[in-house]
Amino acid sequence: MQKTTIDHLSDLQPLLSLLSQKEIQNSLIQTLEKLPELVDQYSALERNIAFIKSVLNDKESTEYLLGGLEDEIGKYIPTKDSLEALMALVHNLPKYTKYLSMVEPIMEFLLSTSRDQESVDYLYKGAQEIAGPIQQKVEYGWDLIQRAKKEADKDHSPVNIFTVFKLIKEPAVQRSIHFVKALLTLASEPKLK
Amino acid sequence: MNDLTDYKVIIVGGGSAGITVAARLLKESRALYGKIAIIDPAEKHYFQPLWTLVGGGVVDKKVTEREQSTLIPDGIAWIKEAVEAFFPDEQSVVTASGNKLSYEFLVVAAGIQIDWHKVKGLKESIGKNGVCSNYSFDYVESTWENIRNFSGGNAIFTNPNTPVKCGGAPQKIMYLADDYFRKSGVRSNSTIHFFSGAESIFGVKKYADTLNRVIERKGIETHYLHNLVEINAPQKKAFFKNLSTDELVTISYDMIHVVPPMSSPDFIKKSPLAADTGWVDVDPYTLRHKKYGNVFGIGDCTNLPTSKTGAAIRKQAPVLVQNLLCLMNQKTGMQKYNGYTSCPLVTGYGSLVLAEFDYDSKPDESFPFDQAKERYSMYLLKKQVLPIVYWNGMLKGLL
Repeated sequence: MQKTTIDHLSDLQPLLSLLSQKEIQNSLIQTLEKLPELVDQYSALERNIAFIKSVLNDKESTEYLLGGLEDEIGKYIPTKDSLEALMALVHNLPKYTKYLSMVEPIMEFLLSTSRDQESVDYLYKGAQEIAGPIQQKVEYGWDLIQRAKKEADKDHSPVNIFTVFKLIKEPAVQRSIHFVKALLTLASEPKLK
Repeated sequence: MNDLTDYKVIIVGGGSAGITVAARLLKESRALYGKIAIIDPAEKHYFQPLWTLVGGGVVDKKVTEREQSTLIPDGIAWIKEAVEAFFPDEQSVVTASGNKLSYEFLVVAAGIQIDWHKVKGLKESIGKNGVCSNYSFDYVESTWENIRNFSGGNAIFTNPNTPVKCGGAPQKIMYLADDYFRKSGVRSNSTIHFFSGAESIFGVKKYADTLNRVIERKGIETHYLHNLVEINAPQKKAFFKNLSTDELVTISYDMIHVVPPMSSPDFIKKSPLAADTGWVDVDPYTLRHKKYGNVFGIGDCTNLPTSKTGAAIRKQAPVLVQNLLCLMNQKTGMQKYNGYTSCPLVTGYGSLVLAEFDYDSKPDESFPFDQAKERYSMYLLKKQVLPIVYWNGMLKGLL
């Protein structure tokens, strides 16, 4: 048997009763006001999910993404070796702290000295006082050699036996020969024993 | 000028010991920042060990002097006054201007007092008429003047019968003078005399043996147990008392290098902190005052039975700081000082014996070779390295 209009109205009574309430009406109005925003957000979510599904379905894209991540993060993923090294470091930390404590004041001292201009000047002056005389002797010796070379280059006189005899008489040559003679004598002594 | 009158720690004296202790305290405990005061009126600070070489003409005296203000560690209050009196029962000190400063802990690092007036005629003669001394920044150059201009005759070098700072200094300048006289060609017509109030050349046999050989090699005439009591500068005569016989010995000189008698500062001598001898009465191992538990002493002003040197202070300072902090924080771990001290004994231009020893006069050496041998390397250590270690290491609380 078909329902009459009055029967339909009776079915809707609870709903109509609810809708007659002021709070419900206000809530409905607020919901309707927010509806366009909700629809936009839902559409955006729908699009994003569709994108993710598309990427996941696209094997090439997935492989590219994961491969890139592996390259970047892979550097930082601790391997077994690095974990063992970390454990060793932690284990030896008391010893390293002790060494650092010993080295720290020395480093601070060196830094303090380097920043103290008066101390740097004093050390430089002291080094010059030590190096100066040595440098002078070396320069003198080198200068002597250079001058002797120049003199020798100018001398074109023939060298004969008389030149050699004259040279032997030079005190410096005499001393050198005596020195070599003494050196040879002393060097051969252990062999005689 | 600092307005505070209450400090956690007051340090009397801003010399080697005072500044070293202040720097170390701050390094060990940053909580003490702004709570430590150094009381010292001096505006200049000197690295006195180098005065031997200034007197010997090797170093310019200017490099031994620095402004005190550049050395006071950051975070330490500097009260530029002299301490007049101690009131340890009230935990306070009073300065010359009448300011009363209170402390929880006191460190006395006042140094040693030079008593020029105790040798008759010395104070008015120093720096002229052949009278010189390395123990004053104002007069140290007169030593080099006298050595450089010496043309022969009697050269006298004295050592008093009191404790002195740097026990080797009286003889070091003598060895340098001998070297210079030989270089300048006057040694053959000179006589060098060493008049010492002590019984021997050095208290540690290992180094005394070397020094006696040096004296013999250099032909120096020694007179032990003879104390300088008077100088007649116009007549160039020096008067010595023979401590064994009380006899007065008069000797003419052409130059005389005087090491004046020394004692504890007067304001300590008359204080409750002093022992019978006038020095700050501290335990030789912990450096803590024997009567006042919150008072410590360090360096030349104490009755520590060891030679009064900067090297000794370098070893005393960490012990004092550790012990003070243990007391302050009520913790265990007090350290002991073994009496370590050191005397770099210059025996000529370019040679030095590095004496290092402890309370038992036993050698306590830093290097793995015989330090009783005269060495150029040790001379370089004294001349080049130690000043740097002092300014940038010790005074910064690092070494």
